[in-house]
Parts: sequence; structure tokens; C-alpha cells
Amino acid sequence: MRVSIINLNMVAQDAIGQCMLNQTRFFRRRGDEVKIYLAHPPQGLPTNITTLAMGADGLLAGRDEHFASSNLYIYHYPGRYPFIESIKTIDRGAVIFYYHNVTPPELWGSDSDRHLLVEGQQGVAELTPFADILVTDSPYNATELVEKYGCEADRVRTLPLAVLLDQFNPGPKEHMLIKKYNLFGRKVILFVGRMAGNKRVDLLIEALPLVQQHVPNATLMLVGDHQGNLAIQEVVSRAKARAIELGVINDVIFTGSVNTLPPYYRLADVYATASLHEGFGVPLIEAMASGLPIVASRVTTHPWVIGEAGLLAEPENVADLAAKLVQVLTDDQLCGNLVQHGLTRARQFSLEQYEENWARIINEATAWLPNQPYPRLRSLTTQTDNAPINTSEIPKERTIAIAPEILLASGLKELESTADVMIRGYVVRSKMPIFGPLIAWLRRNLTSHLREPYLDPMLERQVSFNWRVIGWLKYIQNVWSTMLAKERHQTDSRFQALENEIKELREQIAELKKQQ
Amino acid sequence: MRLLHVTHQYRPAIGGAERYITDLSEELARRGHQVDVFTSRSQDYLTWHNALPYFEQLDGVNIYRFNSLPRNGLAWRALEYGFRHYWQTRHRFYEPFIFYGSGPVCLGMLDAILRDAHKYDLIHISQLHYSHSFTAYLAACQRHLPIVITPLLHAEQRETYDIGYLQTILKGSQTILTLTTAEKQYLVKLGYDNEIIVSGSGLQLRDFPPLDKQTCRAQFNLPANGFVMLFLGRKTVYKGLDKCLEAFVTLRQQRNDIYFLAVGPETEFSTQLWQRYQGLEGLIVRGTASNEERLAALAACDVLAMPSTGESFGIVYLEAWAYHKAVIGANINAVASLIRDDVDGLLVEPHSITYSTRGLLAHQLNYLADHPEIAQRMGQHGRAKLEQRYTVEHIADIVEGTYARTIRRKNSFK
Repeated sequence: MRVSIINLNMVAQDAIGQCMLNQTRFFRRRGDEVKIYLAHPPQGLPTNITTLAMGADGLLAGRDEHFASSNLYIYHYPGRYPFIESIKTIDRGAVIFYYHNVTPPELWGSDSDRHLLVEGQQGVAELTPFADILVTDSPYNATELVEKYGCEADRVRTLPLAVLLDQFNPGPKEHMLIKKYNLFGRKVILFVGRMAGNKRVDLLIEALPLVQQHVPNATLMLVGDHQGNLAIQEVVSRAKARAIELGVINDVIFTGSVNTLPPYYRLADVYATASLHEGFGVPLIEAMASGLPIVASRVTTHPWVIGEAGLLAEPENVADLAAKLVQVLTDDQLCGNLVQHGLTRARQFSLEQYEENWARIINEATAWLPNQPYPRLRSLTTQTDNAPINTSEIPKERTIAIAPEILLASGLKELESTADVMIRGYVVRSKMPIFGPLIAWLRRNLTSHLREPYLDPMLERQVSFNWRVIGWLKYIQNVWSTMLAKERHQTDSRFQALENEIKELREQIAELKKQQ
Repeated sequence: MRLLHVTHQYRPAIGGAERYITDLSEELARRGHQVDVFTSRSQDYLTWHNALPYFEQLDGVNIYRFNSLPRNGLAWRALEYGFRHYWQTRHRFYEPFIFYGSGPVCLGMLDAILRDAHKYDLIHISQLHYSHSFTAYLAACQRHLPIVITPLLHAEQRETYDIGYLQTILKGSQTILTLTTAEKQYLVKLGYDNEIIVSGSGLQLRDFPPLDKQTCRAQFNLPANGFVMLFLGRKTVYKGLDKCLEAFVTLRQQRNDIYFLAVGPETEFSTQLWQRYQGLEGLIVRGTASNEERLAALAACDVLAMPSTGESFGIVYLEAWAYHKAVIGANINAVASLIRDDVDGLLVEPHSITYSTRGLLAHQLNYLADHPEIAQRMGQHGRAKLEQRYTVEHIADIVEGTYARTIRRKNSFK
């Protein structure tokens, strides 16, 4: 199958870029031919993926051969960009519209670039009707597509983004960072994300003096792009001015963009966000996976993402936000419970889960396409093509352990659906008006001497052979799945035992602290 | 895209279905698509009288009109005979009678589609239950043109969908466009597994310019401060005019600041009603109204009360929302999927016993008269909903996308 993935840009560090990377790897493992069409050059991607990316200039003009002959098109939508209009020109194949939500213009906090958000919102209603299936990251986005943009509920699929859980896990605070930011003996309230208007970092700053009344050593650490564009710069300068007014500027750290996030999560005591609008919220999951309790505003996707792993504050209510932060920072038992729930919740956003559901969506979207080639099993042995290059990659061991299982299951399903190579529903027709039925009758009867004694029996033998092969493959899959399930069960038990051990150790540390 | 729209009647003929296809065709033509319309020469579905020109070009749309057989006494008798026996026996023998009686039977249209089908990427048939739909369907199938249909069926009226050849059309179409989710759910319930898309119907907001409420009230001799309920539409039995009058009489006994403005073509039923309620104070009646009068009536009222039980969509509610007015509709499937009770309007139970229905409608009206701020808020919510979901541009977005998907599917098998 030929697949075209289209977006404005592809940055390995951001959520959509990571999502596209996961999808590309998924298709390559299946043996599909993938190309990625971007307006801006990709950033931070492994070289084997970078070679698949190309400029999107030729799309609207229909000059690109791969694009023109693709079987599946995946349009990512973080906002409207010029060549997304090519969705209207596609004349064959299946189309998926991947909606990542558009920040409401009224929450942007700056006049700069606001028109882009307005256009982005208008584009959703205009472009979604051209897609066969709409995929989005959260139930909130799905509801928005249906209720706000009038999309058909039965064409919308929710597929939460995957988070690389093996990178984000609880661990000791990194001494270098403590030293760099002078955080000895400080309680760190962490926020991660770009400082856009809707993120309302100013509310976190407002809440800080109230928190410090109960937790005097509290520090607010804001990690993420704070100079990216004019709108972000405006928001940050206003927030800094407010921090000076409140006298807490020395307790607020703007780190800017960082290369590796996990140590920052490990540095913190609580993750806080006062954002008024989120389409998904990857940092929340990364924080939960890193063993942080969460305090977030009760808006959009937050209640769904967090579940029982955090406390929800009323939106724009600084006093409530501060109270919830104090509660988490001072009540160890509550904090422990939230962390436990967070670790469990984060596991639901694994790459394995994502790929399983993504395979289901792809099968559904392409089920009607004619003459789909089988996924080529050679990809089982081509893992080296996808070998990780930088730290944001998936470890090789895990890809090998999980991917073939998913691949074989989806491959078998497709093989099964195409095992019967006979075109049983085919009816000989003629396009000729009036005389059509007569011509069809003649064609049927003039070929019956070849069809009945030779062609039909040959093809039936092929069909029965196909079914026997599939039977054997299914047997092998069953045996293999049982083995893997056993292995996974053992890993889970080991993980559980380790968690219990950590819990006990923590209790012992707490007791030791009390004794001291 | 090169599109062929087939409909029973087209502008300047008046009606909801005609307006739907006219607005859609013009909007798509404006977007650069080639849109041709095949229709009958009639603007009266009671006679199918051939009166309009054979060809016209209106707002970028090429309209080709075809002669149809007249709907005379024989046709009506055939229709009645067909209906009477078809549902008893379900025998195909009676279907031609219904086909002939429903009309418009345009043989020229069949020939034209067979001949010119190669010029189009897709055929869109509007209004299922008239005979043009089967003519177009046969020709499109013969020439392997992808078919999109807007059936505009009324779940309450089985003659609009429950006949063998109509079911064949629905089954054979690649995509079905419905106006409401209720209509879609009903089709799913009937077992149709084609792609069914809710397109809705829409208004051109520029057709509803702001008007001064007091000036409009003066036009109908209505006082500036009274509470005005409006009935706007053909005054037939199922539109609920009698329920509105009963509610008005009940309310008028309690308060004299309430007025009832009834605008729309008269029928035998309404004439009888006016005789019964002759001389009622606060009642203002207007017959067939010009577009300006309709808009003035909408601007003059406080609430549109139309507890109609035979709506396939209810575009009149959208018109009221265009002027920020609250609406009251009957709690039937189609209307309930348009009006959100207590948010942008109120729903009343249509099938309760007369007393409670009357009581209920009167109660709702009284509630809005007592709380004008709630009525205003509902009107504003309605207007916001209209702007977001029910403009012609939005409907054209959905239909254009649906066409593209249908053509793509067809091409993928080439």
C-alpha cells in the first residue's frame, strides 16, 4: 500500500511530530511505501525517516507520482496550512483527517497570529467532509468535532497519542540540575509546554505567593519555549512583570526549551497547569509516568487525561489552584495515592496500545479499497532500518518484542479477508444502453466453456490451499501469543513486585526521616 | 467536479425541497463546479403543468427542463388505486400506478441522462418520492454514474419511502444525504447500510437583513409592548394552527397583552378555523405573503409557535433564529433533532390528548411571555447555532465533501 502523510512540519520533540514518527514506523514495518509531505524541513528526526520527508510544493499541482497514486492519505490538522487544500483534489484512495485541535482564538492572549487560529477553526468544518475517517486524540476533541463542527459521529475515531513511557519514569533528582537552578531544599512546581496565551502561566505565577504562605520553599519552574513567536513573547513578558509585582520573580524559573525532558520531571514535586484549553496534554502523561502528582484546571481534556491521578482546580480560580497545590505538597498520603494512580493511568498511553488501535483504524479506512497488497512479512527482519538514532527513539528490544505480534495479527486478518480469490459477486455487465443485457448474456455464455471446466476448478483449488495456509498460520500465532502472554504476565508481576519494593522503601525513608 | 442535479421542480417553483436544491446548486456553481440541473417544466406539483422554459441559466447553474405527463384525473385515480392495493398485497404490479400517479413522468429526462451521462462525475437526485427519482436512477445505473440522493423522507408518511421502487433507489445509491439525525436513524432502522450523511439544510444569512421590530409591528397593527406569537406557513391540518389558536384563546383569558399573528396561504381547514374564531381580539391573520412580509412578521414577533407534526426538517425555525427569536416546535423526531429543548427553543408534546396539549403549549407560551429575557437568550442561542451549523455555505461544505468521497470510491475501482 502507498501511504502519504501530510502536515505543516515534523518536529521530533513535539506531540504531533512524535505521532507522525510513530505512524511512519508503523507503516514501514508493515512493508508499506510511505512518504511524508511537509511545508518546512523536518527537525530532529532519524536519518532513515528524514529521507522519506519531502517538500509539499508539488501536491496541489499534482506533480508528485507517489502522492497521486497513494492508496491512503493521512492529513494532520494542527491548523490550516496552504497545501491542506490538496485534500479536495484527491480522486482515489482513502483519506484520514487527523484532528489535533485548534486553540480558540479568544484564549490566545495576543493579537499576533490570532487570525491563523480563526482560519484554523473555519477550516475544520470545510475540510472534514472530504475525509473518510476523522481521527482525533481525545474524547473532548471528538465531541468538539461532532457538536461544534457538525461532523458525523460515526466517522470519528478517538485515538490517544502515545507517550514513550520507557523514557519517563520515576527516579532520583539530577544533581547537576539542582545545582544549575539552585534548588537545594526547594519544592518544585513544574509546568511544561510552550507559553501560549491559553496555557495561562500567569495564573500559576499568581498562585505562587499563596502557596508560599504554607510552603515557603516553593519554586515555580516553567519549562518550554518562551521566545518562539511574538504572541508567546508578549505572554511571557506580561507574566514576568506580574511576578515582579508580586515579589516572586526570584522563585520563578523560565528554563526555555530543553533537549531532554525526563530529568526535569524527576526534579519536580508536583506538576501544575492552569491551561484553559488542551486538545490532549502530553506533558500530563509524561508527568504521571514520571511519578508526579498533578494539579490541573477542570477544563477540556484534563479530567479525562488525569482520571484519579491529580486534583482539579476551578478554571481561572487562583485561590483554588493554590489550595490544591498546597494540599498535594503537604499531604504525603494524598500525594502517594495520586502518584500510584498516575503510574497506572500513564500505562494506558503506551506505544503498543497506540499501534494496536491505529492498525484497527487503518484496516477500517482501507477495507473497501480494491486489490490491497498483503502486508509484506519481510518487515519482520528489517528492524535495523528503524534502529534508534537519538534518545527519543524507542528501544530496539521492545519494538522487536511487540511489533511482530501486532503485525502478524493484522496481517492474518487481511490474509483471511482476501483468501477467497474468487470474485464471487461479479456479474458480467455491459455499459451499452438498451442492448446491454443482450451483450452481457452473450459474454457470459461465450466464455462458459473455458470457465466451467478449467478456470473455476483451478481457482477453487487455490482458495482451498489459501485456507489451509491461513489455518496453519493461525495455529502458529496462537502458540506464539500464548508464549508472549506468559512472558508479559511475568514482566507485569516483576514490575508489580518492584513497585511494592519502591513503596516499602519510601515508607522506610519516611520513617527514617521521622526518627531523625 | 461536473455535477448533475435532478429534481422534480426548481426555482422559480416554491417549496422547501426546491429551495434546498437551488441554494446548493448555486453555491456549488459559485465555488467553480459545473452544475447542471435536470427538472420538470412545472411549478405546480398538483398538475405538473408544463409552463417554464426548456433552458435557463440562473446564477451560474444550467437548468434543463423536460416535459412531463400531466397529473390529471386519471393520474390521481391511478395513484389512489396504487396506494390502496399496494400496501395490502405488496405486489410489484401496483408500483407503476404509483409511479405514474406521483409524477413528474419525464421521458425526455431519461433519454437526456442516458445520452449525456459521460459529461458528469456524479448525479445527485433530490426528493425521493416523486417519479423523476426513479427515471434518473435507472439512467444513472445504466451509465454507471455514482448516485447521491437526498430523499427528504417523512417517517410519518410511508408513501414517501415505503414502496418497492423507492426502496430500490435508496439501496442502489452510493450515498444518502439526510436533513436530520432522526431521518438518518430512521433509515438505519429500516436496514439501509449505505453511507448516510446528515447534511442538514441551510439559509443564506444575507437574505435576512436586520429589520426594526417596531416598524414591522406597525406594519401588522401590533402594539409596541405586547407579546406576539407567530404562526408562519401553509395553514394545513398537520402544521398545528388549531393547537396554537386554542393555546392563544386560553392565554387571552388570563392576559390581554398577548397577540397572535398567523401568516401563510389559507386552506379549507384554516377557513373553517377562522369562522369558528371570528372576532377574536388580538388575532391578526394574513394570507399568502411576499418575502418582505414574511421577514417583517419574523422581525415583529417574540416567539415562533409552530407545533407542526409533519416536518422533514423545519426551515422556518431557522428563519426565526435568523431574527434572534425563540421557537416552539412539536416533539417529533425531525424537529427534536433541530431544536434543543430549553436551550434555543421549546418542544411541546404533539400526541397528547387535546386538553393537555393545549395546556402545555399555553403553558410554554405563558412562560416565555413572563420571562422575555429567557426568550431572548433562546433566540441568541438559536442564531449562534444557525451561523455555525445551518448556513448554505456549511451545507455546501458537507455536500461537496460527500461528492468528493463518492467519486473517489468510484474511481478507486476503475
